[in-house]
Amino acid sequence: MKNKAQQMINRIMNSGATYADIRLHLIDQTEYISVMKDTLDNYSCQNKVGFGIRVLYNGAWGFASSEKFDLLDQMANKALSNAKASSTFIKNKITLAPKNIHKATYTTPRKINPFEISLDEKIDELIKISKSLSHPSFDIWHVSSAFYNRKILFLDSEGSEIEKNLLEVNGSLFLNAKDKDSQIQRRHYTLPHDPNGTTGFESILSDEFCGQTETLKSQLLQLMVADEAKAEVCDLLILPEMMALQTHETIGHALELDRILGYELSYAGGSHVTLNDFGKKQFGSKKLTARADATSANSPGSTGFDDDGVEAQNTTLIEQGILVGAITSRQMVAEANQLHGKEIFKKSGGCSRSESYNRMPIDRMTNINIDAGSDGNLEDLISSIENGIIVDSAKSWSIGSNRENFHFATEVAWKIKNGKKGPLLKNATYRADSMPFWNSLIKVGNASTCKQHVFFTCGKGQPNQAMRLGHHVPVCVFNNVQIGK
Amino acid sequence: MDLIQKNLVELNDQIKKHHLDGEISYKSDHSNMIRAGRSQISLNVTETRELYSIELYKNKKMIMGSAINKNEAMTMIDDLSKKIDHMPEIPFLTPIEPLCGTNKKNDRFDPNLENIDSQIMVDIYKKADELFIKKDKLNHISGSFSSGSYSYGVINTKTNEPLYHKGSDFNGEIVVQINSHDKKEIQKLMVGETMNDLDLNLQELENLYEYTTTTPYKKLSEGKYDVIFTAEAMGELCAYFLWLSSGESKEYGQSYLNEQRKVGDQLFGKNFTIADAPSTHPLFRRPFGKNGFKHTDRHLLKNGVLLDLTYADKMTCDRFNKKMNSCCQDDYNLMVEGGTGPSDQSAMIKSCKTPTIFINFLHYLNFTNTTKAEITGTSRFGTFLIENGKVTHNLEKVRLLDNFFNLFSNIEWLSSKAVNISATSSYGFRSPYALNVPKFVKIKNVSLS
Repeated sequence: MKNKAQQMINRIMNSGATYADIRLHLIDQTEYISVMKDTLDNYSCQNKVGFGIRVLYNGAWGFASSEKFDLLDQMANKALSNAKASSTFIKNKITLAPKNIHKATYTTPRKINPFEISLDEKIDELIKISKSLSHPSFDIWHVSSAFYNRKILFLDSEGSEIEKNLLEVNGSLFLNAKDKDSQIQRRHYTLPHDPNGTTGFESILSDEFCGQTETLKSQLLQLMVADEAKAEVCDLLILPEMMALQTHETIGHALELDRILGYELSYAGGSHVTLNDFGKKQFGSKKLTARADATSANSPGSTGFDDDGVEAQNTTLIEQGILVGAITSRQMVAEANQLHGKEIFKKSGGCSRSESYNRMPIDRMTNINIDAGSDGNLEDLISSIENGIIVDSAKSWSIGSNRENFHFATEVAWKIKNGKKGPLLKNATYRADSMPFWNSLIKVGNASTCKQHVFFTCGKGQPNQAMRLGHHVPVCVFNNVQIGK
Repeated sequence: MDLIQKNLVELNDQIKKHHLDGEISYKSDHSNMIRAGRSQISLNVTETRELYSIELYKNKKMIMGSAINKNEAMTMIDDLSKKIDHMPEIPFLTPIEPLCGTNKKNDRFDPNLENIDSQIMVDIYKKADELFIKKDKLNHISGSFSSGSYSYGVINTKTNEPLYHKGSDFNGEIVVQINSHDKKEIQKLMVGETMNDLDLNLQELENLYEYTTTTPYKKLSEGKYDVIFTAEAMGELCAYFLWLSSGESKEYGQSYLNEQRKVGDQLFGKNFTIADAPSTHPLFRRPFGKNGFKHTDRHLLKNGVLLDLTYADKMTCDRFNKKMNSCCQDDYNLMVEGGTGPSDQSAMIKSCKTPTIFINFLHYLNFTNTTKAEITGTSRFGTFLIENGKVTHNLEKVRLLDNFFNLFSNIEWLSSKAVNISATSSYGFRSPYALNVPKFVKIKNVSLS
């Protein structure tokens, strides 16, 4: 298959293309297990293979994919003809920033491959966790795990030859119950990943997953009798699970270079950031340093190389509040520098990613992280707040199309008065404009407050693509935020 | 019987050979999409896929898997038939029943959409660019256009003949970014089932352009306003509302229904009616759902009263002891009943004598509290203030922060004519779904911030 693919690339290049690549998914396995109220809810598995071919012709892209390897030449021709049609409406020819050429293999670090242990063992473990979530007052309790195994071969016309053996594990818990006002309250939890750990069934067996059931149960029982969070303007302390979403929506998406340039305008939206802002814009307070770090060992955002064949990197996005970098690919870096008339980006940040073989790569997050601060541990942060609220776990999210504002609802909240954490509150929401919000960051917790939360369904692009990534974030405190309303 | 139907029968027979019950569902598509950004084509893609989804049942045990072609599906059935013995029993699992849907040939299938010439799609954006670049060279055209064919089928071991349906569709949008006016954006949407449905009249988009570029900007203060929602915005609200109103949402604790608010109660205004109408809907009439359930006309909400809860998922029905009574929501042919209100843009504007906000699109809707039916999202692609029958200001995007009880109990009028709104941007297992919604809907006392 590798030889056939290489021959196909040579043929396309001989037909006038200036670049071509292919991603062959030689193995693409998924297994999903869920248990609801101690009973199996769903077991499903999927095995597939496929390929996607990308061709650059006369400064325009064409792409075609199939799951039938015997259609390789036909799809290559289709990708080329698509590129030729595209080239009739191109004002700035697409070019690609230079890259290092790699002949390499990347394998996700792992201990227990979930595809190599028995089905009985996996289902039994989930039923065991489900039983530990049960309570007579609850309506639903649910445990699920999903395992993804992919062997991907990437070849391009520049000589790259990269094999990726990717393993991903997702685990989640949720439970709900009616509260005293007959409203449904819910707690959910997704398996955080230790950035220095391994990916495998060991994550499902870990205390980070199984060990959370008592906390979740206790919080749901408290929610059933909790009062509503009141509308007010006060300090806001965000715990890591919520902080991950906050970072994702208002730093991550805002700094995707294709959004900044306008390529996502008709669907996901644009960005309030412009090319003139790099190196100057006060994106947040001096407490804020954020980065796109694809080099952590254990995250679905770490794949060794992106789908341009560029090596994983750790790129600073915001340094002590100043915007300095973006989430970038070869195409967007070249175009942004050209448009700006001088170099903003030295090279691709290695963030060109596609959901699978049947999607063309676009600029996507890897692991968008916030550096730990020096404002102490969680207790220190709480005790420093005179009037505030703690929030965690997103219930809903809605963000402006240029990421200029947001509205989040959370599952749990606690009032802070004079440095003391009060009882649990329900239905807390908060909203703000993104730039004043990040500039109101007044405290950042130390490394003991950090967790890496992962997302498996970040949507973007037309055709839509669900991406997998992580956020390693500390507890953060913001000043004067609108709660409620 | 065509190849896919034969395949489904053979796979069904394979399940029977293992002395198991089971169901095979099939879907396939051929999709083409181009995408424009910054006034040039940024992506031009083609995909062809098929998928066989297999469910096997053995007394109180079940197992599922999927495969990308018939041979793999055969192998998957053999594999799952061994694994099923390892599955734990599901006490509430009921036996599968014969499929009750019926086949009907789709006479609106258009092969021209399946193998569309890429250049036709590119030219849509080229022409839009030519038009708007004349108005201002800094304008940028964006958007995507997707065209293709899809099919789905289903058979089970209690049914001998497979159900099978094949269709075609396109959907897309043209977006103009008006860079000289604070990068404001306006949009035109397109959806159809045959090439003849393609309407490239850009007059209303040009009107939005004029309102944006010739009226002064104003920032709206937080409060309650009378609002005109376009069909696109109203369709989006209705799609979210119906999801919240399903039997599945109620059973999983996501619904606004409770002891005080029940099916059959007058929960919304008497001028609000929604029907699933496969016999009269202009687009994508499906004879049966992907779950094999028959698809027939019925009201979901009539004169503000929710008539029934729909259940389309076997596992949910088994778990909560309910009877399946519907195809899935994404198979519906939804029509929101119109009224007597104006149906063209200029008449609508003239009709607004008191200050009214005109919202063209709602972006990133999400529930803030499902049990209170609260929803939020921001306006996009043109937000304007209409006063004394004229558009007087273009507004910053506003955030809707309201609930369905307030919204749908305060409908002042609905247009007499309806348009088709695509509720999915299909590509990759395309499953076109269009709502037929009055062109404009005026709602009083809407909370905006």
